[in-house]
Amino acid sequence: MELELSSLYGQDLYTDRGIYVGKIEDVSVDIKEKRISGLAVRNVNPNAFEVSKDKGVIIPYRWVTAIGDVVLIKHVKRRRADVVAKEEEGEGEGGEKAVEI
Amino acid sequence: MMKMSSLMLSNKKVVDTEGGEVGVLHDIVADAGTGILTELVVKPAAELDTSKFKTDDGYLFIPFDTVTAIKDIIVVDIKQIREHVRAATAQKSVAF
Repeated sequence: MELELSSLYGQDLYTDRGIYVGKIEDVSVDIKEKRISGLAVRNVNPNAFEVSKDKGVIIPYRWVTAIGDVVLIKHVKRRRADVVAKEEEGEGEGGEKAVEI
Repeated sequence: MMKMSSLMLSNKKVVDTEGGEVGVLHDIVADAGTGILTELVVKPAAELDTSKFKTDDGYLFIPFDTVTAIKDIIVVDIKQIREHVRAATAQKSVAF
């Protein structure tokens, strides 16, 4: 399915277990790899990610499981963005991580 | 810096490898499953001859493969674009 990046702006992001994550503000693209690298999310639900007030997170695009009227990502246990980052580094998949922005 | 904000990319000027102005970037199309970027959606410059491009609804659709640089402006390979359009036209004439 083809997708215009601008159609993602402002979409609500949930986990596949129905937990609200936040609102997509921007899409990060990797120019060299020619693919979407992550979703920049604002208005982050503190029950999904523990981030400082007024901060957002970048969700790695490979966490995305569905794009429809809303966007779903695979469920992650509530954890701090930097903890996620550390765990993700271990997986070695191009350094993708949920980083606080 | 290889990761860029797509919001920052929109309205960037798009030029071809022969120095011609193509237009400004309007949107990017990607495959939802893989996240692979497939096409640039470009608002054509007023004086551009759009017959050499794939167009839809007044916008140019340029294969992402033809992008040679993205910095302050976006550079696309005009020869590759012509080849893509020629290939697409050839396919159409086979189908009919």
